[in-house]
Amino acid sequence: MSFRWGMVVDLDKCTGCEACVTACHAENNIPSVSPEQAVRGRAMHWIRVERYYEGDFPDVRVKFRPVLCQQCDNAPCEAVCPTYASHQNEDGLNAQVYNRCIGTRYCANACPYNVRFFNFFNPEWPKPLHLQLNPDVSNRSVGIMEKCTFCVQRIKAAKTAAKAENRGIPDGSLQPACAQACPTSALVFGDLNDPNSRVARLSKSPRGSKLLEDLGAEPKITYLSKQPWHEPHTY
Amino acid sequence: MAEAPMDRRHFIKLTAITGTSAALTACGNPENQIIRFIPEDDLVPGVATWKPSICPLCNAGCGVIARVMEGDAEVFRNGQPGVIRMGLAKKLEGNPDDPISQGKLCVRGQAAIQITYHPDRLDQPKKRSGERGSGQFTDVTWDEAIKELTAQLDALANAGDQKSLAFLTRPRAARRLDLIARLLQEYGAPAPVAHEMFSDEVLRRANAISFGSHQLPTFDLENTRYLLVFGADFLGTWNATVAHSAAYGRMRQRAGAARAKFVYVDSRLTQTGANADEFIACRPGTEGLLASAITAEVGRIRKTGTSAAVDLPAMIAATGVAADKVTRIAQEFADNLPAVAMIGGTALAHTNGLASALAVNELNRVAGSVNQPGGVSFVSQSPRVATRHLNELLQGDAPKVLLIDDSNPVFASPASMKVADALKRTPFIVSFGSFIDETSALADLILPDHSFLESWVASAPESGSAKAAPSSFGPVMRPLYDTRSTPDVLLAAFRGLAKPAAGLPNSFEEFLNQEPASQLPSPRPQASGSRAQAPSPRPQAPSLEPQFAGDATQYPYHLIPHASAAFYDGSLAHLPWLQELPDPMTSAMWGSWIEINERKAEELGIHQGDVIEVTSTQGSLRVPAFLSPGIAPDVIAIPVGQGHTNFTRYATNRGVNPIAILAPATVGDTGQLAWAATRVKIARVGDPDKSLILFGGATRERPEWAHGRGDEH
Amino acid sequence: MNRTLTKPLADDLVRPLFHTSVWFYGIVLVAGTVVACGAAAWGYQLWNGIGVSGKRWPTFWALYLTNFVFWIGISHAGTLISAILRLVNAGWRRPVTRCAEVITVFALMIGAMFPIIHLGRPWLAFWLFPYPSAREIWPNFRSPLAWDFFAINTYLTGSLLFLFLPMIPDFALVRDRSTGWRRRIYGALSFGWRGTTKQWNRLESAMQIMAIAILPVAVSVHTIVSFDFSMANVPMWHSTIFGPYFVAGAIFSGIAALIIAMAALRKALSLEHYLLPFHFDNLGKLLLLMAILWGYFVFNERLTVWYGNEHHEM
Ligand SMILES: Nc1nc2c(c(=O)[nH]1)N[C@H]1C(S)=C(S)[C@@H](COP(=O)(O)OP(=O)(O)OC[C@H]3O[C@@H](n4cnc5c(=O)[nH]c(N)nc54)[C@H](O)[C@@H]3O)O[C@H]1N2
Ligand code: SF4
Ligand code: SF4
Ligand code: SF4
Ligand code: SF4
Ligand code: SF4
Repeated sequence: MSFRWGMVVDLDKCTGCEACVTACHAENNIPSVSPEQAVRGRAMHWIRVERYYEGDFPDVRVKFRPVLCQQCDNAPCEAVCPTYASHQNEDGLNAQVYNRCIGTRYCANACPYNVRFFNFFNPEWPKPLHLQLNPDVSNRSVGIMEKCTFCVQRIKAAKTAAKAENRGIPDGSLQPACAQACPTSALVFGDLNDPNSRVARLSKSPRGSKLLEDLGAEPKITYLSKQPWHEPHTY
Repeated sequence: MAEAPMDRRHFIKLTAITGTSAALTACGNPENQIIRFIPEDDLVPGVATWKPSICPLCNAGCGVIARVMEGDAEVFRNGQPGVIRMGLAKKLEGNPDDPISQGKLCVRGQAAIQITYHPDRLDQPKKRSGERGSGQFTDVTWDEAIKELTAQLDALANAGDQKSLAFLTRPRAARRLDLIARLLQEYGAPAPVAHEMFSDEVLRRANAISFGSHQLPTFDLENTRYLLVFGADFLGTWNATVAHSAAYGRMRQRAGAARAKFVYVDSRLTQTGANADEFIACRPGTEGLLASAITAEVGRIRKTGTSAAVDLPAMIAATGVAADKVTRIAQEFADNLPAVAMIGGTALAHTNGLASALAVNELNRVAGSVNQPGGVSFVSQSPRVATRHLNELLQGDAPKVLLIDDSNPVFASPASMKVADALKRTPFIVSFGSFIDETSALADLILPDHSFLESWVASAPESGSAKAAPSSFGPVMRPLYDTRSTPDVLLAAFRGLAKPAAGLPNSFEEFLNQEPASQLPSPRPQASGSRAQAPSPRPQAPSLEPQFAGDATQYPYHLIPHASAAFYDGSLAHLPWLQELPDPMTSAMWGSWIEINERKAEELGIHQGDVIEVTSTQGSLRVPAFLSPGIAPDVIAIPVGQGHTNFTRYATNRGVNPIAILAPATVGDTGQLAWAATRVKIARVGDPDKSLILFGGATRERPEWAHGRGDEH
Repeated sequence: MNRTLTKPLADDLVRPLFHTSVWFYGIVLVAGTVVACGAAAWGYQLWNGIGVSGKRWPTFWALYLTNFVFWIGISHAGTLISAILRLVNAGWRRPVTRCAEVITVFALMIGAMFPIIHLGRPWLAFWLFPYPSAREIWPNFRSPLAWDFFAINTYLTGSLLFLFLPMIPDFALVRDRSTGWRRRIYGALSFGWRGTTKQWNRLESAMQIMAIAILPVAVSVHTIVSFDFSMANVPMWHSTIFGPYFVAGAIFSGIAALIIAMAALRKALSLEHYLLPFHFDNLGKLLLLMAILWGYFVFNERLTVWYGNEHHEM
């Protein structure tokens, strides 16, 4: 079985609610860094929701855009990592091997999407907050770069289960935490290698585009633009 | 290990014992069955089990499933710390079988798990040892604590003064409130006092008047073709946000001619408004006027309107919306049926909130959207128990014994209401809180509740889904500490009375099994939970003219203290995930901010982060400025939730509490706080002080007019 | 070419090796204190986490790597300059080259320290070294940081050789004038130098080869350092002129460092007779040339950005 995991973000559905942000924290043991560190720009959110205001009051509009690691095919963060801590795995994921990271922070400079987060200090989990940590996800210590993994632990579990039962992974049955949580189902995850998967079909939508496409990083996340409303009779 | 949703669903089906399938007689609705879950303790190490529960954080009552895995917990038992291996909740997700959550959760629901594992949770009963409010408590055993509570109740009963017992809680439709009401009634005490900053009582009242349903409405967003929203942050903080969002996602799925239009009316662009196809800025408090104007137009177009003569041009002028825009919206509304109008949040928090809600109800009626697909309806539910308003507690004689469950009125009421003073006059206060907060700090006895994951939970959703059904579930995990489930503690105390009421159940679990909600004493029999009745002619329509506290020349700005995406009404400010959550509209974390129109700020010489002093007739506070193009020039907004003076290490002394400076204006005669009716003045008092912490991510492209001026943000 | 030093000349030059003034100890003390403070600060950083260095998003690199670039730049003082001067056979170079080459070696060692100090987990810095490990993981040769590692090591090795080779006759000179343990050390360092024509010829050709070989290495080192930046996607970091820009900047700062060092040595060791004003004059001209070149690059960097209307690069 060969997979190529990808995602489609439907900006028409994303309401900016940020459920995905907390879901990712809960799933992936992402620490809260404290206000003292947050004010220094060290807060970690593997997925963030950007907002773009356009126009002036009262003719003002806002567009939300969830941004996570784009799992680039031609990932700039991989080329610069001297230890292969950041590398492309067999499923086309931009994998991050925490143990192999020596903390050069080069990848964070190279990533055009600003989605890599560095542990400037050892994360703290005042007891008993540590009991909520997901045992399937390794915790990162000081000096290590981390970022969205497409919830690789869920992918691994699904692959193992599928292999044991000698079956494929049905489309939609495997979801990363953010897509699982998204109340409007704006995030669609799946296998781009399967031409019938929802994600494969949606990524070919004429509404689709990639972030900073001209940089050539070849992201695996497609953003579907907002759609306008027209008076029905104009159709 | 993460199972596929299909597997999880399957698992829950297997492990959930479908209870007595006793359809609730009142409703005769086959969906209304009680689901029970028997917790399993034979966990396989490293393998996750999913157990159902209910999110307790807001009225919506989303069904959740908790991922439980084996782990070693440092626990507290019989006054002794120790380590035991037990099933621990690791993550919450929406229960895919639950019609409200539909497998999803909001941002707060995702963070709810941190309540259980909070480092500052109270681990055993405490008794005040120092002065009231000194924060000095000593540990007591449960036996001592319950004995003390029983003794206080017995003393009241012996003196024939049962009326001096008061119970303060949140207005939740859950079975817990049913139990509390029953205990109070049988004891002879008055009905429980319900207090919530963002209470929707005004809307319930309006729905009772318009449709005979004293409850919150359910919208068929999925099938509507035109959605007109007045101030309701229905995708963020208002009512059943998860159910709304799920339906909204499906509404947005429709393309081309089938696509619905979403129009949002407010004086400020909320997170919900930001998603609208069209934003209409109206003057604060004129939502009802606008709705009435649109109603008149729609009625004219559809020939369904009442022929009441209204001065349309004057109404429209008051709203500040261009007349042709109003006509266009009305035309679109009438052309794109089924269309539905929604009101909530800020729009109901003006002095004319009830009138505005009635106006929107009328719009729905005129458009023929009541009880129609794509319109508004009311789910069948068992009657809600009657509750009293906080004012009754404050104005009458102070109670002699006050029991407080899940309520923090000291924080969530204007300083002018002097709640803390009233509490200080109360001789004996018992708090069931899991944390020391501004209110429980004043208690004489703290009897910490289990967290919801450690308790039996029950919910009877009031709205959100036409398929909503009551449900109850057992604990997801064993308790970490020497805490006890509050309903069980209450039962123990009331059963231990010298003259206990007959037939009290032994435990909350037994109560849930024993008694369907419909058999409860219902003080409001007329508010039957059946389908909404045909609109009755409404009595003496209240005025649509808003009134504001504070003179317009001296206090030129409207203060909107809106619910925060992270903390809702402030009861969640203690959760670190939510403190560090970038606010959807500003990306601000760990603090408060005041939202000011950016052109207005330019005029006033205010830059991003500058310290602003906000003054109302009631007091003032200092808070950093966030400049936004999404707010009217004469409106400023401060999120509610921060400004706690005593609420765990994460929330104490962080940001400001705008509730404190609100004037005690009320929504008509409902007694509800008109929290959007306060006027303020603002002054720049200092340079940026680093209290505005932005996560970044762009907030806007540099506006044309600001080129070459000020900081980019 | 007269290769025999006159006796007073040799005495003058060798004197500091035999007579240590209190100044020397004073300077060692001061420098030692600075190093001790640095070591303590590094210990503090290791213990508490790299966060104490004040780095944050989006300034992930900042001071340590600025220092790295600065010292690698300074290191271009020596080997590069002395190699160029040697190749163009500039006769005036002799008093200048030794000083320059020593600066190179020390500046390189200081510079190479900083990327390690800057790491989040410096105890794993050896993973940059391509040693055969049981896991068969090699460094990523696509990463400019791996190139840095090799470039700096090559340059350091080359510079050490470049410094060492022409010192052999001088070691012999000291050997011949010293006794005891000094004689043994300098004897070993001088590799049995006797000053025969054959030896001189060999040394001369070795130096010629080294001079030619070291030039591209020096240029590559700073080009690669510039690649560290231009390979990243940070605005203002990826101008295509970064290679020559950095090299020009390096030579510029290197010459400046050299002038300062020479002036200090001239004063401290009373070498007024050997380091003459015209040496400074010539180095000054070279400095001016590099300043003009570097100035042009600075202008050029802005020019392309302006011309291309890349507002986020401005
Ligand atoms: N790194 C490392 N590797 C080692 C060793 C070491 O010290 N270090 N030790 C070696 C030695 S000596 C041994 S014996 C092996 C042990 O290696 P394994 O046999 O793999 O041992 P465990 O991981 O302890 O248990 C295997 C699985 O059995 C499950 N299990 C528990 N009870 C039951 C049961 O009643 N029925 C079933 N069907 N499953 C159950 C557990 O959940 C677990 O997933 O490891 C060897 N490998
Ligand atoms: S988005 Fe950034 S971190 Fe993710 S693969 Fe692309 S370059 Fe790497
Ligand atoms: S910080 Fe870690 S992952 Fe990033 S480039 Fe350096 S070693 Fe690789
Ligand atoms: S895919 Fe997983 S790791 Fe990535 S943002 Fe979503 S939840 Fe976080
Ligand atoms: S959870 Fe979904 S709707 Fe909410 S911000 Fe994330 S992507 Fe957008
Ligand atoms: S809407 Fe959010 S807070 Fe309210 S019950 Fe649902 S998940 Fe909980």
